[in-house]
Amino acid sequence: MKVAIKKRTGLFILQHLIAMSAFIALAVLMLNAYVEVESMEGKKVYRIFPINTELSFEDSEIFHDLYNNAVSDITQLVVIKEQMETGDVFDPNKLVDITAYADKIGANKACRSTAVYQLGDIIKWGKNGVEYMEYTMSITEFVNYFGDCVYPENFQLTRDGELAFDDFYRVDERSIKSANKSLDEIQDAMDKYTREQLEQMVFAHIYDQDLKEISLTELNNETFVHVSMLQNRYFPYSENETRDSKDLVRVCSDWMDYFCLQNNLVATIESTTENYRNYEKINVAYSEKNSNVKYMVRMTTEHGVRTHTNVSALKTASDEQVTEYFSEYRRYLIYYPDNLVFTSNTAVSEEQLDEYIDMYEYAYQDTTHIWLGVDTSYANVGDVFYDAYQMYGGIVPNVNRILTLILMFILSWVALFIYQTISITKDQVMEKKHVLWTEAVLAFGIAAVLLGVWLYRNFYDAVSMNEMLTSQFLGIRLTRVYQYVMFSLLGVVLSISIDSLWFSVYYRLQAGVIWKKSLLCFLCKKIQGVYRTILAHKNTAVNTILPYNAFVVCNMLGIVVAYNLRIHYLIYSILILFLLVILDCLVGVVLFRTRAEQKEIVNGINRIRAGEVEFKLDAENLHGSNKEMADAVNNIGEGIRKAVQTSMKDEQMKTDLITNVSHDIKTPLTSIINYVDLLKRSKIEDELAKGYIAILDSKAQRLKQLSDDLVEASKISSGNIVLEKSELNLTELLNQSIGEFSEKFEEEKLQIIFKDSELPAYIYADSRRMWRVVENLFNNVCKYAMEGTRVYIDMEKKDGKIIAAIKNISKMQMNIKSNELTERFIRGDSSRTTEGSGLGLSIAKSLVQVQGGYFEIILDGDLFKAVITFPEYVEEMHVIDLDVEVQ
Amino acid sequence: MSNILVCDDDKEIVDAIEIYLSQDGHHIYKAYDGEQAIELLKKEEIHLLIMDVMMPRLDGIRATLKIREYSSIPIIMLSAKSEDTDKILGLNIGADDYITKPFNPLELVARVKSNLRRYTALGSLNVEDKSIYQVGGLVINDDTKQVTVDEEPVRLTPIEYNILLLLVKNQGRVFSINQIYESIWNEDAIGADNTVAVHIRHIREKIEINPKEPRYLKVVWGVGYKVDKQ
Repeated sequence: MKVAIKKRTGLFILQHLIAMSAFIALAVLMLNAYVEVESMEGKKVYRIFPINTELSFEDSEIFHDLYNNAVSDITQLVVIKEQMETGDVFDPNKLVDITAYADKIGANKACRSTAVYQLGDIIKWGKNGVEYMEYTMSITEFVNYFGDCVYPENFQLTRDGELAFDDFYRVDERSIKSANKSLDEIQDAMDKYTREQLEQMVFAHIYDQDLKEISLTELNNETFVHVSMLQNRYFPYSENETRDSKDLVRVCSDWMDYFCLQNNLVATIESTTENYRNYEKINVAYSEKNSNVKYMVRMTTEHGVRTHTNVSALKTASDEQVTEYFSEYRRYLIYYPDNLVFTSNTAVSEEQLDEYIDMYEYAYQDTTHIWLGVDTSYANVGDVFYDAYQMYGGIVPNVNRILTLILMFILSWVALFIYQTISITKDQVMEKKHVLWTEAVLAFGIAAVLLGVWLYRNFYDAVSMNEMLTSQFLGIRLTRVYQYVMFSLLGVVLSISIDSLWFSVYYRLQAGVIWKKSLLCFLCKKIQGVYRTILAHKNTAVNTILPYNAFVVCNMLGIVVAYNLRIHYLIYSILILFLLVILDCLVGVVLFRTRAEQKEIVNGINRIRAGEVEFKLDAENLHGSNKEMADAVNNIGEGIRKAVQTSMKDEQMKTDLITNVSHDIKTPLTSIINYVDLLKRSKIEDELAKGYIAILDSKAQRLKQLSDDLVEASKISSGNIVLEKSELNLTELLNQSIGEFSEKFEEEKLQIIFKDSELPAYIYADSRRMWRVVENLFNNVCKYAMEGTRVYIDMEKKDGKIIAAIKNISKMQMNIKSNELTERFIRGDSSRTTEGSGLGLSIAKSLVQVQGGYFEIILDGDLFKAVITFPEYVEEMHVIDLDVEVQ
Repeated sequence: MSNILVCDDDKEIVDAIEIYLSQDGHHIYKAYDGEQAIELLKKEEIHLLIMDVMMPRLDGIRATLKIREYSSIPIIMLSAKSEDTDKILGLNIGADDYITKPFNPLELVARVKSNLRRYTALGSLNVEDKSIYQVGGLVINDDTKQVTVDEEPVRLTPIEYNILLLLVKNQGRVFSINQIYESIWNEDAIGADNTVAVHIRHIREKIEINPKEPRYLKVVWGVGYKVDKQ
């Protein structure tokens, strides 16, 4: 059995080790099969899978992905360079026309004016963030903010002849406008209105544009306008004027212009800043020294030819030379959109490239020529192509081996799994019949969660794998080693959970308790139980669950409110938290008190159970339901005390009754015995009469014995005796007893075999009662042992116990249970009529037990065996001069 | 020979005792309660009193207490109360012997005889002689190797005699079976078994009135045997 268990455990461990190995192998494959790229769109992770071991790196999927990424990056990079650089160097003094730029990025809303800022200013502004100021002014102030605009030129007459504000017209536009309008008529119309009313018209025109920068408030019947205006951190560039004299407001002539320009400026700032950040990141990565990607973009515009490249040698070369140069690369792409030339030996198609370019249509004119190649000697160590190449070289030749290894591991795992399943014996099934679902569910749950998270992060959120594996876990930075450990752990957990789930199901299936021991069944029962409990204890549910929920809600509410108030009303939130703490403390105290009181009650119950029936709980100092409980316990205790008292009284009465009856019997019995004796002495000749007298004599003697035994038995069983214990040698006592009984044994032709008659066997007992025990047993032997057989007496010392056994062969068949023999008045039926009271064994047993020993009768066929067990008396004293109470 | 007062509320028991003791030649006076007994005791010259404990009017215990105020005659208590405590109480208040009902008539007679002898012959023995050992009514004369109990000779085998002598010489001391064996047989006690126990039983049967309730040779169960000092 033990060997089997060892074998099973061994196989079990082996199986999980195999699972672990498989996952480690998988980890080798997974962890060495991806590269991370810093691209325009942020971090990207490219995986080596799917893998085709027959392809070279330059033909592989990952190369294609990386190349695609490079194309996308470079098309954007060139645009940014165009914006940021002058002569291949970043130029913060470059001027940016914000309206033109907003136009390019599609943010311009028909803005008529513009401002020019220096690139450096814009980037700095973007880094610091744009801020707005709110200005409040009256309508008059607002309308006249950019100077008087109440000119006839700006107004018009509707067809109905009503005067209305037309639009802001610039001074140079006014002449054109005035040609179409009868300015005099308008002037006349305007004269009918007050200046205020005209200003109102202007304001209404602006307000109707629904601009988000303007809001109104009314105060004392006067309307105030709130305007959000950009804070001028930097000022538009101007060659002659000092800068601060020319803020954005001065560039504009009216509100419409201003808001439009403000929008453009913000859009420019945001876009440029983001571009700048990407530029910083990407430009270095694709520099001549850092990248194996070679590119060249040549744009021919009205301003001349502009070339962006990281191959400085080709900067001034002609297109043909460049094409020739790039054709040398193992992988290259050449695109002349104007000539419709697209040469490529990569997987990037013309459509794809067009797609990239279309995003920056304004920058890429048809005359743009693009060359993009990859130096497959990977001379620049450390770039992403180099890394991927190295990785590819490392992993591809080994992929098949690792996969084979994993397959082998899986196969052997499955084999072990099947073997273990098959080798489960019926016994094991029965042994594990009660395997709970918990272990399986627990293990499986953990595994499922881990696996789920892992799978999700790896296959659906491509960027995160690296993040997860290199991030911190419990403050430990996950290095490679940790990653492997995580994989192996995952393997073991997965293996164990599959195992436990399967074996849990299998065992339960085999044992036929698949439903009974399942989680679902358990939950069903629990829910049923809870439902029933709640139904049965409606009041308790209301008493407990409601306050509990109220407590929880209070706490949560308090925390939420305190959290929300923390900014504006810190003092209130502190107050609320303080109150919460007090509430929690109170609840804690109440809980503690309840618990402590329960403990007290349990202690009380234990004391009562241990026999201390007088014990009373102090119910006055308890609270609530505990008080009720304490009262109930006290009542139970009182009940038990009364019951015990009554029972003791009853027992005492019984003993007294038996004793008194016995006395009353003894007096007439004395006369009977005496006169029978006298009869015996009188010279009666009649043999028959002599026989009758003998019977009378023996029956009278038996009656005497019976009454004595009855009294003794009742006294012992009611505990009404005083023991005088001392140490005594059970062997000596048995020897003495054998001596006493020697003649009786001889009469019955019984041979006593006393082994170990020299073994000192000291026990602590009442010597006379022990003699009584042995006497009863020997009497029993004399009465019931078969004539001419041997009686064995064995002594044994074991574990600090003295065991004495008396064995004999019964004369008659014993169709009775051994425990019945020691019960009062029970004897073998067939011996009912012979001498003795039938109380001998009962008395012997009671006496042994009362002295702290153990008495047992064993019946085995005709073998009768009485065993007395006593604890050995530790202090072995051989002094025999003892003043012992003697018979 | 002697005048014996028998006092019991059960007339038949008194009559039966009368029969037994008359056969031994004693003269019997009869009383049926304590008061009668005390009255008779005052009137007649009584040598021994046999008295029941549970009696109407004046019970045996109180009667004994009263009698002991002026008389030292042997009193044998005869009672259905067989508890140790009853016996101890009876003996403590002045009874000389205690017999439980139902009694063996022969034992009663023997005890009466024993008590009478001790009462009449007490102190008459010459205990100066160093070869004479006495324990109550048991006398051993080591010179003549004679043993008497209440002046009646007892026949013992040499081994029995030696055992008894050993115990009587060392009154009050408990001898274990092995010790007795070694000092009588002068051999190692290995295999002594229950020889000694059997001999002791034989001695008891010879010297005791009731071997189950020995007066001289007592068993200390689980320890050994002894003869108490008296």
